Parts: sequence; structure tokens; C-alpha cells
Amino acid sequence: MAIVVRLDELLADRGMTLTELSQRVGITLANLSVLKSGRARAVRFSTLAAICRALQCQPGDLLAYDATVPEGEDDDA
Amino acid sequence: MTSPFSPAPTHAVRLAWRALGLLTLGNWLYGGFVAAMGIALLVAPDATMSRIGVRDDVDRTRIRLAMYAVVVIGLAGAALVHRLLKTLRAIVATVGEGDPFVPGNATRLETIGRQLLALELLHLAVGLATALGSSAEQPFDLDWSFSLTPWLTILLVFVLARVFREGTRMRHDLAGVV
Repeated sequence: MAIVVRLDELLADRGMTLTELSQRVGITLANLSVLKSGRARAVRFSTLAAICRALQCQPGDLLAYDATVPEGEDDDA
Repeated sequence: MTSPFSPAPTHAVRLAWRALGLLTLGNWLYGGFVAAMGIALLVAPDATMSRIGVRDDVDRTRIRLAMYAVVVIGLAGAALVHRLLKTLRAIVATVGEGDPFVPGNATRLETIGRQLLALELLHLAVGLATALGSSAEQPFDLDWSFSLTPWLTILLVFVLARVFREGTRMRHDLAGVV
């Protein structure tokens, strides 16, 4: 997936664990893990807004495009 | 009959599985009866026809050929029904496993639609055979009648298969959405 998720860095900067973020945004730990590991195929605006609110950041801080990363097989399905 | 389900299926799924097993058994018996009739017609055509009430003072060639045709169609029908029940049981098995909304079931529904279509064409062929086998002196009556209901059912199954395929595709799209 050419979209890179920087959740790890944002959490480390703020000294927050994934479990804490899960409790703050009301999204399951399993779903946040999917997002953090780059296995998510799409992100809802509501999820993005909740994470940005909890981490006091912009969507651009969370997501980035990296052309060097190959597209996954699932991207077009 | 071994149940393929894990975890334990609901009562309705178990019931459907057993009902399909009984229908499969019934279809084997039907196929056996038709085959026995075919063998009897081949081995002792006159005696068999007399036994089922065909008059012996008329030319029996026409009705005998029609009966051969009906036997062949009947055997083909039994084989088709067997495959249809097998396909249906595969769908029920996925329900028992807890995940029936898979692309494989959309394909199975399309297969069932094609099998029902083939069965209805065989039904038409039986109607044709009885019409050709009948004569004024010796009618060949199998209580055949045309009905639109099976054709509407076939249409419905094809539409449902399409809906099912779209549904599984949408589900696949949603998988991985956070």
C-alpha cells in the first residue's frame, strides 16, 4: 500500500498507547491495529476525525503517500 | 450422514441438511424406479406395456418409443436433481460454518439456476414425448401440464444469484475499512 500510516510516530510523540487511543476515540483496538500496521484498505472520515481530535493533529500528519512502496494486491478489489 | 458443521449449527441448518439428505435418497429411489422401468421395457416390452395398461390391439411402436424417451429424460432428470441437491447442500454447509456470504455461493446459486433451467427443459421434452407418443386409439397420459411458475422461479434464482454476487463484492470492499 503506497499510503503510509504514521500512527506509531504520532503515538510515540504524545506518549500514548494504542489502547489509550482506542478508549479515547471509541474504535476497537483490533481496528486501530489494522490501521497502524498498514493493513487497512480504507479509512472513514469519522475515524480520521476522531483520531485527529484525540492526537491533536491533521490528517496529513497521520497519512502520507510514498511512491516507493508497491501497491498491494487488494488495492483494486 | 456426517455433518460437516463446525461450530454447532442452528436447528434450522441441521433440519435443512437432513431434509436435503432425505431428498437425495428419495431421488436415488426415483432414479432406480425409472431405471427399472427402462430395463423392463428393454427386456420385455410387450409384457411391461400390458402391465401398465397399454392396449394390445393397437400398434405399440409409437408409445414404446415415447416411453423409452421418457425413461431417458427421467434418468437425466434424476442425475440433474442429484447435482442440484449437492449444490444446495454445499450452500447449507457454508451457512452451518457461519459464513454463507462468499463468492462461491453466488456461483452455486447461478449453477442452481442453470440446473433448474435444464430440468424445466427436460419437463418440456417429456410433454413433447407424450404428445408424440399419444394416438387416438392409445393416449399416453402422464398428467403433464405447462406452468409458468417454474420459469418465474428460474428467473428469480438468477436475479438472486446476481444480487448475492453484488452483496459479497460490497462486503469484500467493506472488509478492511477502519
